[in-house]
Amino acid sequence: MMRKCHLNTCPVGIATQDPELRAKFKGKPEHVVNYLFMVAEDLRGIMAELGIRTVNEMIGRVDLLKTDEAIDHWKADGLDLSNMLQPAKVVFEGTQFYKTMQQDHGLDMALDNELIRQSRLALETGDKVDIETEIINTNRVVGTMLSNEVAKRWKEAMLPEDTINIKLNGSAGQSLGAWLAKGITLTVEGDANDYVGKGLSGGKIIVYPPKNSSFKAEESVIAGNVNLYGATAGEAYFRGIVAERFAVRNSGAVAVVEGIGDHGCEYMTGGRVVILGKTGRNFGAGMSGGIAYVWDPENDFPKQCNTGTFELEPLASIDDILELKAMIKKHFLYTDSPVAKNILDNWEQSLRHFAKVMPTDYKRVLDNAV
Amino acid sequence: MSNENRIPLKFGYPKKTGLYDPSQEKDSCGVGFVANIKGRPSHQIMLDAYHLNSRMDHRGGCGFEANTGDGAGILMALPKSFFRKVAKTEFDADLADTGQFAVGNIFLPQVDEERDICRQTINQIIAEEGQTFIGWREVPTDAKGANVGPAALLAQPRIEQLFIAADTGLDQEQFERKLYVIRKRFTHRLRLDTSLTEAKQVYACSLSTKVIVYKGMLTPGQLFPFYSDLTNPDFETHMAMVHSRFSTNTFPSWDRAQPNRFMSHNGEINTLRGNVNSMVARQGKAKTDVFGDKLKTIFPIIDDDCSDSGSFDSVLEFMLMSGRSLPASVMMMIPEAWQSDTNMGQAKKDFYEYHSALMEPWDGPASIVFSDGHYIGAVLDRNGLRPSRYYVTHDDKVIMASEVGVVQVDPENVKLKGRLQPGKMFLLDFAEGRLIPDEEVKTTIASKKPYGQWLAEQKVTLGHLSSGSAAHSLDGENILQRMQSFGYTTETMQFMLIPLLTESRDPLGSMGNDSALACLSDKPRMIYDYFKQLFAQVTNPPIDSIREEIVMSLRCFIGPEGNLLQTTPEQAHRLSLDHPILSNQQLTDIRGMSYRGMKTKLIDSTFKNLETNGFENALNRICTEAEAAIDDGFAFVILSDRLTSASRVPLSALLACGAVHQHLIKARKRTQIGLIIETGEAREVHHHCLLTGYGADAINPYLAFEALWQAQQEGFLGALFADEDALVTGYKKGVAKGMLKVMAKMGISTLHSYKGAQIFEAVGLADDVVTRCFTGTASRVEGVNFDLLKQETERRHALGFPKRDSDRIPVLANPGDIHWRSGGEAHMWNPDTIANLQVAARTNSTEAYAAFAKHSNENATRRCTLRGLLQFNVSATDAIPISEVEPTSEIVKRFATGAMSFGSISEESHETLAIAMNRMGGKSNTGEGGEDSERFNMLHNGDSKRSAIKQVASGRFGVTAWYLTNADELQIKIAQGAKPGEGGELPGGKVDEKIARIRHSTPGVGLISPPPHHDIYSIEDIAQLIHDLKNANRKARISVKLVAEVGVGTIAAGVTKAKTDHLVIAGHDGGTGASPLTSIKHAGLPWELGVAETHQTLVMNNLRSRVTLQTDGQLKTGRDIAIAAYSAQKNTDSPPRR
Repeated sequence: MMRKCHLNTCPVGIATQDPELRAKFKGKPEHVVNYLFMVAEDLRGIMAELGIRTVNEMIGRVDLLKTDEAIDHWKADGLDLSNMLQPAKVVFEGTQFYKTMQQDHGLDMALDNELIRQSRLALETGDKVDIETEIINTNRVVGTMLSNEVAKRWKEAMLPEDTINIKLNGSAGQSLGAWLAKGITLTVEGDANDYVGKGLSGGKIIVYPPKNSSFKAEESVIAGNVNLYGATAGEAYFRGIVAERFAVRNSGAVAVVEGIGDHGCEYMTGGRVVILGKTGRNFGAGMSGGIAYVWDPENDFPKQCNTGTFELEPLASIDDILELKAMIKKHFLYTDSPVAKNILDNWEQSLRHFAKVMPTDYKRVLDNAV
Repeated sequence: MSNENRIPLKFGYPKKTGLYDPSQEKDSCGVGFVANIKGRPSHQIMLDAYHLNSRMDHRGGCGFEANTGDGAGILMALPKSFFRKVAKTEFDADLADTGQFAVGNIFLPQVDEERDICRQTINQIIAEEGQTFIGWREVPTDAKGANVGPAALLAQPRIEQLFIAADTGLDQEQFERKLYVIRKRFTHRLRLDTSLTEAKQVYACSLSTKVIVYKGMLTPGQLFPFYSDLTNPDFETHMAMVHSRFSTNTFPSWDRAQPNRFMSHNGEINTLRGNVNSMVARQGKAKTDVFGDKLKTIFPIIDDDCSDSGSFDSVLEFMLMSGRSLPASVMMMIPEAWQSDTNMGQAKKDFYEYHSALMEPWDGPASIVFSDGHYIGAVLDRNGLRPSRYYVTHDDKVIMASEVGVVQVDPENVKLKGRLQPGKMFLLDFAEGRLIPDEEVKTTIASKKPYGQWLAEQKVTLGHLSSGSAAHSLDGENILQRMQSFGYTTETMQFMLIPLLTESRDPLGSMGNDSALACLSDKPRMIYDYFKQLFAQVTNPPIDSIREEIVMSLRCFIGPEGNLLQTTPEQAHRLSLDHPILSNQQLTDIRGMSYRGMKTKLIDSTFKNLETNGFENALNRICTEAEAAIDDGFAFVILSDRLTSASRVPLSALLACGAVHQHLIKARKRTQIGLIIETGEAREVHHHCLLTGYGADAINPYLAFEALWQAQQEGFLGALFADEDALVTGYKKGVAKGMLKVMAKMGISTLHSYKGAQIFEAVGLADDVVTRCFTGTASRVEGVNFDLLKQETERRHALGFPKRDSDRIPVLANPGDIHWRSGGEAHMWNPDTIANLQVAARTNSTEAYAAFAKHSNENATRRCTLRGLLQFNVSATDAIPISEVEPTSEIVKRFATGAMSFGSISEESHETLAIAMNRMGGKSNTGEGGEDSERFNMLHNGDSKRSAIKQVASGRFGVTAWYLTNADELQIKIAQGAKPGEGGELPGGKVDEKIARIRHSTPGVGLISPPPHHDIYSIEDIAQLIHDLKNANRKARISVKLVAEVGVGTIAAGVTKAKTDHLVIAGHDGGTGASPLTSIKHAGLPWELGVAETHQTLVMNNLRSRVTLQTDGQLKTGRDIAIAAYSAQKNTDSPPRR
């Protein structure tokens, strides 16, 4: 054995992406099938010898195993495997020894059952639907079951933007809009808990405070930890501050937010993030792709950065500026944010206060592509 | 089933049996509070608390009965007017002023006679402490109305309320201390009373003039209906803290519900063993006037069967009672990441540094809410790993909880919505009637004493200790012989030490470990090889020590600790080290020091060759000498094997360190001296981790320096590291990186808490060795004892210093431990097994398969693995004709391939496996790299390249709604056998156009998988992810992949309660594309142990019927699979590597 998978030089074309080495791969599906059938046959032989008819019958039968007395070894002789070979103890009446029942995942309680019902037209024909409902924190993972229905019906392309519009009033439970499919827009008037837009898959999420609230949104927390973790596509707008680890491992989603906690954009590899407020410590650790734009009028962003993989640049290129402006405009449009409005109203002046976070590797690759 | 396999249980945890160990049990939860900032009591607070708790139901757990919860509870400021009324009705007593009476809920035995004895004992202790007993009231409960499950009901203790009045002349604080002593005394006496069959039912929920706790084995929704006091409109309070528990078992236990006496905890203390050991040792030196000679009656501060939260609470309470304030105590126990924070104010840094001389951090994910009625506060761990959100309203209410939206508040009434930030504290002072911001609390506390000045005057650094004596140079004599006698090999140099220096990190390797377990090896193995590193999975997250370096630190104070209960300048008089590795000069300086009363004792840890009982005598001698050194006033001991020679044999440094450390803990003296190891034995990262993990404060690995210096002289390091200082610095740098990573694997961020925390498991060490040197470490396969360790030591010594000079070997041995070589260490994959397997698979030759299987079973597996030591018990049953056994076509459906990503392996090999498994009806696994959606479509010839199992790993590469929709099984990869607790990196060179497209990234840019799933920091989080994935695809079964380690059964039980449909218990020998060699070799356990532990634990919890169990790791033949099935799993994983 070579033991060099970590070097990309695997000589038999397995653990490598080098086209020349890959050509040396000789494996065929039938080889695997041959081998595994022989393993199964081998197992049958052992089962027959032990009087066992099915694999289920075998499970946990430690009485059919014993220590091999014949082994003569200066160290292994004294090994005591009795703990391993002890039959499982039964504490409660009616205990069974292999899987005999299904878990109750509580799916019948999901708000999505109702959302799916109300989205029937969109699911069947692609027509637009509008839904409005109350939400509380026990309504978890809202929009996800519906996304699964969209994917099943409309395949990878899913639906056009804003086909299913859902307005939610209250405090959304955890994992709001996880893997939200393209074509679905979730708008929350209220606030949200952890994991908003986890794995976002093309859908759109908008969160803003209740219209009649008296606190300053940009100084208050609107959503919890680890939002947009592993997002691949879609958009998210938060009128307020979100907690730690925003957009970790984001690879394609576009997001605007008014302040974030520690470890923002960690391991990010793609997408765009606009932060119109303060950031916590260790920003951008291990970030290797995508771009973040940070509004930093007080110039305290640089000391929050973990610049191991990126550099801070002023905003210079016209493409960047247009992209940023378009995103902030949308944020204002969707959330009615005074922060966004103020920046847009004083655009030329505000521009000077934006820092651009550009991963070094990403820049190198983009520059080479041009 | 025979009765011997039944262990009926009324309450509490079962005793340790088989591979199940109750000390592995863990829990987590939802936590929150409601309070009126101005301290105005009302019943509305109770109503809000009820909603808060009920709406966090999904964060709590329940067992196999939906109506038996894991525990719920509430802590409130004592509702005085309510209890005045109660006392009047029940006892016709008029309660005195506030602060002069106490009420507490006490759990007592159900057996009447035993309960009488308990009450009598308690009454007597109250009298002995000079206080006035008022009465016992049976707490009204309604189990039926609350619909409490049968298991919880059976286990329910009798719940009675104890009323006590203060002796005249005592102020409130003095009375509180009396109550503490009373509670500690009766708890110790009754719980340990073996004449009571229900002794362990005795438990005081609280006993205080300030707060009261109601709790039990309930679901959050059952709490209020169960205790009717709570819904009584007269029951008024200004603050209420609630807690819902999620534990990793179904065993009934009322006292493990939270809140504890002064706090609730959401999270897990990773460093518990070290914290507890240190507290035990500190008892020896603790002194305070407030308790005087009563202090001893409080000990042990932490009771034996306490959970991590319970232990934390016990220490917090101890400090509180000894005169520290609640916020200051919490700051000491859960400090911010102050060491490398450049933005933190100096006064606060000084406070943290000073207190780090008194106590190590209690490290782990934590959201802690604490209250003594005067304050209520909350604090978050340094990494912000638990959620904590709050609202402040215009009408002076604060609502804080793990989630928002748990109490309905009119939006117009909300003044502020905030969250607790990492390391920050949130404090309400009811007397002042305001919310005190973190900065103010901490600045006030930090400026109470001149900590900075104390440190400047007292702190000792290596710079202070220039002894003037010359250190040993790195040009050692007879270096080859000494290297041989300490077990150095060519592989040590080639794969470990040289790359450690040149790459400045723990060296990388690939594929799985297939060589023999140390306890099965023919070779004399280093004792370090018998230990496996533990790692975090599910109940707490590993950390990324590289990307999140800001929370990591190796800095420690070492040397004698002061009295925990005082705050004086002298407590900072300790030696501060930035790195546990000492250069020769630094060691010499410490050895020769005589600095402001600090001096060092050198203890020789070698023994005379061939002396009868030399080994045993030496082990005893060093322990005695170390203890004597403390009594003689030394500040440090150095255990040294420098004298190793033809006539002197070294004790293993790890054995020596462990023996002395444990000896001193038992003598309650460990914290009174610094323990330094000068050794030729330790060299690898794993070695240094073990030494510090078992108590070493600092290490001087002189032979590693010499060996590297020699390599430098011989040109192996090129032009680098041209002088001795540069070489030692380079070595320290590599070791630091490696050690931080090993700590981070367990989620520990500071060496200070890692030290002595014993985050290891032994495989194949006998009980006598573990008890003496590694007390408390799990070793479930016993075997190698002191005699064998001694033999190994002597055999190694004889390699370097043989009896006859002519037997000397002029080069280092090459044992072939990492790469197979003829005559070397046994490996399961060797030229024989590989050749036969290739012929068998390509030609479908049953003969070749038979040859492969025979060689594999009888030679390779037998020499390397635990299953090699087993045989089938054919005499137990009668054989049947093979025709009666289910057909191969059914059996192969249970097979699945290992999870190798496209990216880690090539497209051709990935697709070949998928087609093969689909043809058989088995399952292939995408691995963590996503899957090209092209592959979801059937091929024209009827084949399919679609992987049935779609993996969801921490990097979430290509995990989209469409990907999830196209799965039969969704597998959450928590850990991987080759490198559990670590993330991964795909170098930019491997990321071509296609891989980048599938992973939604940029070609040529490297990719990182984080060590943890950032949406799983705790057991209730995985319940959420399982629920999320099930929503994303209702047809797919959800699977969770864990890696075998001690406690994996307990984790598996928790994950099963979190509703997984399927579990994979991976062995430590799974493959990898790239991983540190330390992890490949030294982390994780054989699946034989993991699978057996999981099956045993799931059966005991009555959860086995809910999950399918699968394993992987070097399964190659029918025999391997049969053994796996007998020890409990259902599906098996094929060995796809060829």
